[in-house]
Amino acid sequence: MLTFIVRRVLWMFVLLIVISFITFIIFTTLPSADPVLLRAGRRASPELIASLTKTLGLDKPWYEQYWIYLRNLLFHFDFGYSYQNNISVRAQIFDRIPATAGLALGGMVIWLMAGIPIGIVAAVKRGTWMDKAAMGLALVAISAPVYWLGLVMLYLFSKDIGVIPIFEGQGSYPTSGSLFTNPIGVGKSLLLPWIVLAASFAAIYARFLRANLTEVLTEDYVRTARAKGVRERTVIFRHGVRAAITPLVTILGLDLGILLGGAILTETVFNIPGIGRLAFDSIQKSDLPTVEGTVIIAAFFIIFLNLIVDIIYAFLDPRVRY
Amino acid sequence: MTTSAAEQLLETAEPPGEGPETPAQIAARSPLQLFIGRIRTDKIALFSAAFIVFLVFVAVFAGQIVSVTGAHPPNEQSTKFLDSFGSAHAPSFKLHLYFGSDGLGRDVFSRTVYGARVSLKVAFIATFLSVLIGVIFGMLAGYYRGVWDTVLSRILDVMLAFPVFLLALGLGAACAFGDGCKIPGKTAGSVTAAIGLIALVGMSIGLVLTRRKGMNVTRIDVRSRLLAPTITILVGLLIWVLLGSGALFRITPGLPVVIVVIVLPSFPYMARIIRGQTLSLREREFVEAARAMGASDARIMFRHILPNLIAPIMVYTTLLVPTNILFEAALSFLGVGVQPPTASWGSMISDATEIFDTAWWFMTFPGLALLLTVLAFNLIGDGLQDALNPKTSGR
Amino acid sequence: MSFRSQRFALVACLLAALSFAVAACGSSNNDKPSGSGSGSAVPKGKNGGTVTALASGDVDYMDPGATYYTFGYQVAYSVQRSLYYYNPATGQKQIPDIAAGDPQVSSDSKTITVKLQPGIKFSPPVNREVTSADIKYAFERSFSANVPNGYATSYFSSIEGAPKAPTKGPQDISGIQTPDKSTIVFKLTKPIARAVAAALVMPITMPVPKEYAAKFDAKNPSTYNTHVVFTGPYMVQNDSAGNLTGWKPGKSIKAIRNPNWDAKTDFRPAYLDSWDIQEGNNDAAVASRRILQGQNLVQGDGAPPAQVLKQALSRYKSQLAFSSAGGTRYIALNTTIKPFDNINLRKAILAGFDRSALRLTRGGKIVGPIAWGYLPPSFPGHTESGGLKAPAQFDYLQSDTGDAALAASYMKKAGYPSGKYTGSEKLLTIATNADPGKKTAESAQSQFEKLGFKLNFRVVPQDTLYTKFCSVPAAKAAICPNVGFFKDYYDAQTLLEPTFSGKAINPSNNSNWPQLNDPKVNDLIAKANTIAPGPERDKAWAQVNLAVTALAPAIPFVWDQQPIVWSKNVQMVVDDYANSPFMAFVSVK
Repeated sequence: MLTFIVRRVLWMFVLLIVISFITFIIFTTLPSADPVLLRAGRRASPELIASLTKTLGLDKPWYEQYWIYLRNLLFHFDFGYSYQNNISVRAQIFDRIPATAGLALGGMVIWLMAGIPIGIVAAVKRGTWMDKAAMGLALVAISAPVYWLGLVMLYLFSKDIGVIPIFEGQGSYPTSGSLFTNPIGVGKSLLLPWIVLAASFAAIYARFLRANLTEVLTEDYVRTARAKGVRERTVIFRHGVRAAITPLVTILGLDLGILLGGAILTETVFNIPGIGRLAFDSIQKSDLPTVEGTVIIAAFFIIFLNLIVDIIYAFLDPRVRY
Repeated sequence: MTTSAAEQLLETAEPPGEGPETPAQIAARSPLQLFIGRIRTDKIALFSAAFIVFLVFVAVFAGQIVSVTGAHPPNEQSTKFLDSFGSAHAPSFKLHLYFGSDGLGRDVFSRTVYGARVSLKVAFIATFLSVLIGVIFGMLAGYYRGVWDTVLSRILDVMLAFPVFLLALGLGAACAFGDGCKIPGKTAGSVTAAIGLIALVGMSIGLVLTRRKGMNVTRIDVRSRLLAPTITILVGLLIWVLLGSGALFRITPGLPVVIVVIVLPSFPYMARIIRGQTLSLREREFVEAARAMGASDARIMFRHILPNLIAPIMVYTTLLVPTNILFEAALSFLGVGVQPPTASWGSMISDATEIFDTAWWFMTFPGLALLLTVLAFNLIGDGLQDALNPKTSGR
Repeated sequence: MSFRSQRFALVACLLAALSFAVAACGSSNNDKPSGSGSGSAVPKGKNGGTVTALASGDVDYMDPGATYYTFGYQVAYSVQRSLYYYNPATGQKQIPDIAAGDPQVSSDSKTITVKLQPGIKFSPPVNREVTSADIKYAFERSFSANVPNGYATSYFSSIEGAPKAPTKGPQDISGIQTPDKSTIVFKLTKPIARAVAAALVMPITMPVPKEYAAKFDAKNPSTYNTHVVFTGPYMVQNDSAGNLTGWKPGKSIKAIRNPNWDAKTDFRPAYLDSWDIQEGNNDAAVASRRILQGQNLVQGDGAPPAQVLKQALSRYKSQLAFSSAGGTRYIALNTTIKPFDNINLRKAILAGFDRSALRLTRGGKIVGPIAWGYLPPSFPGHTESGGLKAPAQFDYLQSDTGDAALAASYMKKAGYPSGKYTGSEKLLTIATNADPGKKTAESAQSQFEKLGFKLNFRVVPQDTLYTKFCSVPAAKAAICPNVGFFKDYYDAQTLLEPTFSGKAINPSNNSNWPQLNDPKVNDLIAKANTIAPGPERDKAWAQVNLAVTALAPAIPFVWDQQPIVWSKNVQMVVDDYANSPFMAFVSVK
């Protein structure tokens, strides 16, 4: 087990380096704006431009630039400084993580609370109108683009413009505090984003659980349990759900990993100052150090949660051996 | 992030590949007949298919539809549909403005109709390409295993860990202007060579370690492990020398950018599914029989394995299409996509965000079109999956 | 969109200056909301209270030597003091701020002497009186590579000994002399002292204490940006080492009273006890609505979009003001590229263009009058050029909505007998991806196509637009539909020279987007530059304006007014120079 973890952690580092390298290549060989000119302002002289190029280290060949970047990252955990405003990328990312984490974790709670019961009910009452309605609705939720759903919900339910004003609207995310230090203020403004974000996930989980549970309930051991006269409720929860829910852990890990790296669309629609927005803004501005930083952080979350999932799996499923 | 979720749906959905087993049980009917029989009873899937046919019709005859209904040309801006503040006009049948106007005084109805073209075009082309590349890669990896397999799973590892949206945005932003982005031969060559070098070193270390453990390393082992990395290095150097700073390939702005950006992260998923199927198929008796009769690898792959992959390919293709439609729309929403004035549903929603509080019609109609289209494809995918999966049959 | 405002492109902000009062009497806009700008009496406020500005982005720099964007100015002029500035009560007239009186210009026009007021002190942790050496040092550091100043070489290169290239660390400039603690002397190489004195309002003149800042300025780039000390009535919260704890980049800025500020030395009343800026309000519509409906809120860097303005005009008329941006928005035609090298063709385009439709994409007549030239209403030289209406010699600028017949006749003169353009080349057009600029560009696209042109239309982020295309002549962009240029201070030179002088064409950082290089225009500019501020100078620049307009290098379509909104309980005073709420004048009712 320990060697497995060590191996996976090492592989994680290799992956992160590969990903940072690819990102670097994309943005140095295909830059969409010139960082030096952005810094220099509208009337900078050629001399100022030359000196800024040197300041930013852009006069060096790309492999040297990458090596310097990697060295600072590996040995000093230093993500460099934004081309745009010369602010530490690490500080900026850490500043944005709470917003994204609050969005992702709250959304997760909602989609689990909605998706799991719906999935179980649909599987147990297979073929009934309840099943059909739930699965139909789920498919609609999966098919709706999240940003559009967000706009529609805002139009219908937000306090500033909504037809039925219930929820806090766009841009209500407080500038100070996070879900963890100011749960009520931030929670109120995140309620609608949580619901919108959770809709499609809840649907996917419900469908997935329904399919798994349906299959598990046809297994021999379930039949045996029923034959032995075990109560139906016990059969479903003890034998059925427990087995059917284990694979959910895998997708949960993946989903959470992806979301922690920034839910760009949701953050954009609701104006939440998270990692996703930071990444999007810095891509627009060709702010390579910030782009690199956000990509690495996003990739880190994905890989790290995968690792966690695998470890948890070993405990949940005794058949898994490393 | 509906896209990523749908991707997961893709990989976690149970493989419907029990195909080859089915005909053994019901000898009288071929898998195809069986499948057609099942799908014909699925009314929802049939209805969805009819909707898609309708949509294709709309896309193809967009011009005629617009003129027959008396709507206005999609790119015609008219200030008479704007008030003195430049605000959009609400839907009005009297003005033949069925879905209202946008902020430039253009007809939202005809733009929505024309938007179907972009969505379907991108979805079909991108899906076809990712399926094609995925099937080729997957079959090679599953059939030959070894280096192909290693390369595929490493690519997949990177793709899985890569924040795909950021990659797409980055590439999209970089290629969306001017003459598009070109990958200089020098860069492509040196990167290829570097990957080969890393693989070579890795393989050598692996070989040395195996030997240390006291295991026997044959010549064939050495050759099979070291050949591919070496070739990679040589190809990389060749590209470098031959092309220098010339372009290896060029991605022009507009649709090509979107398609590349969609295909890149989605083909490995397809490849992985095909690989798994191929892995199990190559151990089957009929493949062994063919091999014993002296059939070439190519013949085995195309004549014996590929036909058995048709079913899973179909299912995942139908699941990939809606994913790709959503992906294209999301990219357009974020400003990477087809160039104006071409209408696309995603970019229409993006334009609508500025005024969605006062012009509800502008975001509503393209959004509904998107929703219905994706829903129809998902329903067909569901139907196909059910029809091909014996376990869920008889529902 | 102006280069200066590019950072705020996402919220589609407009830049602005001048008062709504002046703009309103000159424009066709009769909706006259309240609010105070220059010229009107500035109301007395109540002391105390706090106000929050909602902004989308951050200031470009807190460092006064580097800031060059409107939003940076909004903060800078309430926490810092420059040699001269503008009082909202007296409008465009430059008044002494740190200076004790008007600048003394020598008879040969080569020396400027400025006396400083006593009793102006730096904020903690420096806590000492400002001397002339602090202003000298502020200039010297701004000429160094460590402090990226965007305009020092444009306006102050005539100072004796001013470095031509950025220096490695701050270096002595011999032409800036400090005979005593309260006197600073600028020696010039050219007799243009009055023109240079007019630029002494810029933030480069805000004092920087050398003994404190030197250690930050030694780094490249300088870290003084996050350790700034202040001279104004307010200061950004900091700790005893000078770290700006009140500035959370991208999130917020918290300003408190500067304990070392003496009200007797300053024209700013500074009613508020504190104010802060909330950043990250990316949606301008949402932010504007929050401001109008809320309490204690004012506008930051954004501008309310048209649909909110429409509501505001009917429901919140007393919470809305317009400040003329002091600049022009236009569509630049690259005069070095075929077919735009043909003057009759350019005139045909101008004649055929529906400029009113272009303006409508930004909100219609409420955002300002339709422009015909490049000096906006109430700007020096505007009246001398002919005022709001295009002079009769410009027949191709008479119609706001386009004159198809005239366009066809110019087209024929240009050699296209059908009256429409018939060339088949695809003209590279680079548009911004953010509304309203994107809408303007799309409107222009369809109008060009109506005239027969074929465009290779590309939508890119604002930053890409400037740094890769429109400001880079080698990129050969034929049409840049989203440019605009706004004043640095109240002098026509700042609007006309960088944008139309052949000498301003520059390989990587060009602001002469049409790349106009006309000997007559160049001569007129050179001549106008030598004239001292006053009616003669304004007349000379008006000649330049007319000469440029006669060459039809661009399609001017609006002289912007910046709308500014605030909450009901806020007493607003607009700083027309920075086109934003003047935080040192704003109060709570």
